[in-house]
Amino acid sequence: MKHLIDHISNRVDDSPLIFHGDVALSSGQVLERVNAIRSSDTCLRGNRCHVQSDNGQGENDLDAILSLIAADGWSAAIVMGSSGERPTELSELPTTCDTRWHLATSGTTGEPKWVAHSLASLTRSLKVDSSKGATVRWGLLYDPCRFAGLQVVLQALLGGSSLVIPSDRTNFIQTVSEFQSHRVNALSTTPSYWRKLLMAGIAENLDLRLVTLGGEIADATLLVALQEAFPQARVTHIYASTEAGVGFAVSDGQAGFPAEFLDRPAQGVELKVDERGQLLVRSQETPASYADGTSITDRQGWVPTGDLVEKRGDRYCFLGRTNRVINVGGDKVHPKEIEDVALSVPGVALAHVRAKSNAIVGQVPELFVEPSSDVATDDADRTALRETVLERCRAELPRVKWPAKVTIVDELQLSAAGKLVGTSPQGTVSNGDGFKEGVSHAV
Amino acid sequence: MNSIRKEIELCLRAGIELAGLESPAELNDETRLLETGLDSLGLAMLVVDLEDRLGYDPFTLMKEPVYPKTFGQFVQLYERFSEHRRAEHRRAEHPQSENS
Repeated sequence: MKHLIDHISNRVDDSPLIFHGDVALSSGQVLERVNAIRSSDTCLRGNRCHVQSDNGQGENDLDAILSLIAADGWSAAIVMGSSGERPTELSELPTTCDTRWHLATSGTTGEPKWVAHSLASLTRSLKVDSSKGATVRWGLLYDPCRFAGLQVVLQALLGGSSLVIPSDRTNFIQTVSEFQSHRVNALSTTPSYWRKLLMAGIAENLDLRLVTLGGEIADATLLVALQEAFPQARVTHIYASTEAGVGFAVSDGQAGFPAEFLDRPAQGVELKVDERGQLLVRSQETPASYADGTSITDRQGWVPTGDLVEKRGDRYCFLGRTNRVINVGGDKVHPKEIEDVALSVPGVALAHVRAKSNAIVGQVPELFVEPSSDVATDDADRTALRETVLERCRAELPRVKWPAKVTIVDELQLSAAGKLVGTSPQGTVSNGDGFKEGVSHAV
Repeated sequence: MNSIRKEIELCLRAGIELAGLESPAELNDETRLLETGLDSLGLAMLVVDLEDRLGYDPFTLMKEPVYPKTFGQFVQLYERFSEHRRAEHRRAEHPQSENS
């Protein structure tokens, strides 16, 4: 098994491999730094190595990436995390240096879960044609210590390409300017970030050949807009998660994925849809369990993704999450948090939050409220209740969880199919989301 | 100032104030949308707010994808679909006259 350091040693030319600010490190210079890390106390042979990114600062991202290269094949385990995150405790370490990579999931609430990968499971979908790869320069927009960011780093390092680490990932304009000056031609980021890039009027400054989207539902409008903005680019939507790894990639310019993927596994990953409409994936490299021992797969090796899909013609389209979590531009919002706040307002009997599609950030929360019987039915009282609910949500919840819209309805109820049906003063409101957890009740 | 532009500007400034963001000194056609003071989340909320007030969301009606870059382009998008909706209403109410 080749380790990361072997891949870098095998590079024949000495052109820059990693750019950061004014610094350009050749593969030889990267190896020098990596060996210095191996000689230090921070990365002991056969032990665990903690690698942490820090709030998007490029200096720290560079250190993190160099530490990963040093630790692979040297340390028994790498524990990756972001600033302020408590690393997982490992009860036992493997005795060989076939390094285990511990990555945190982007948990929706509470503590993240830790998943142990191998370099093989992390790199199974990478393109490693080094002659093609030599013409590609990736810009890093994700946290390198998360699954999506690590994919970009590994693709650049193993695929014979180079990598540009921005000075400060959180500074949007400066990052794009640095990518432009370093002639970045490949970017991977979320649909929300791509929309922001298109609206900022600076996308044209980049001459992109590879445009990759992931992490959120990619709609057809965005895919078409990206192809128009970058006519030379191959636009690819990647479906992946920390647990399942990369599921598949779609580059045909349409939302969702071809239904034939279920019969003819693409990229060696099997797919199936359960009776709830949930997508499941299976591959040989899927880790069996989380660090806490909880199983990731079922007995047959299938990973439940938590994503709901629906067959429309010859394609499957993504509908949302089985746990109703709403993805607001990459931030995960649990409806129950908003419903609980709404239910704490006197006069609210029932509350229900659903995802409303949005062209800018993908989805926003929309709240439906049924007043209690003691609330008068005239418009003024309803308007007052709506304002109070909104004010309470804005006072008690972070901005990303504020409902974008609050509607007072006469009655909130579930249809026989488990879908929300509410009768508002303006008429009937029905929801095609298909979620089954139902309506939250005031107590 | 026409009514759609006025409505958008009012909603935009209200959104900026609500989010505790900094309001731009001047808002004109050339002002970049992401420099109006609203961030992506604020713009997302603005689109929902305007759908409530104007009765349509041009982003869901458009056939060709458009991502406006300036405040002027954003207003134009709403104006274009307002005109489009009025024409559709006229066609629905007077199908004969439109066809003749």
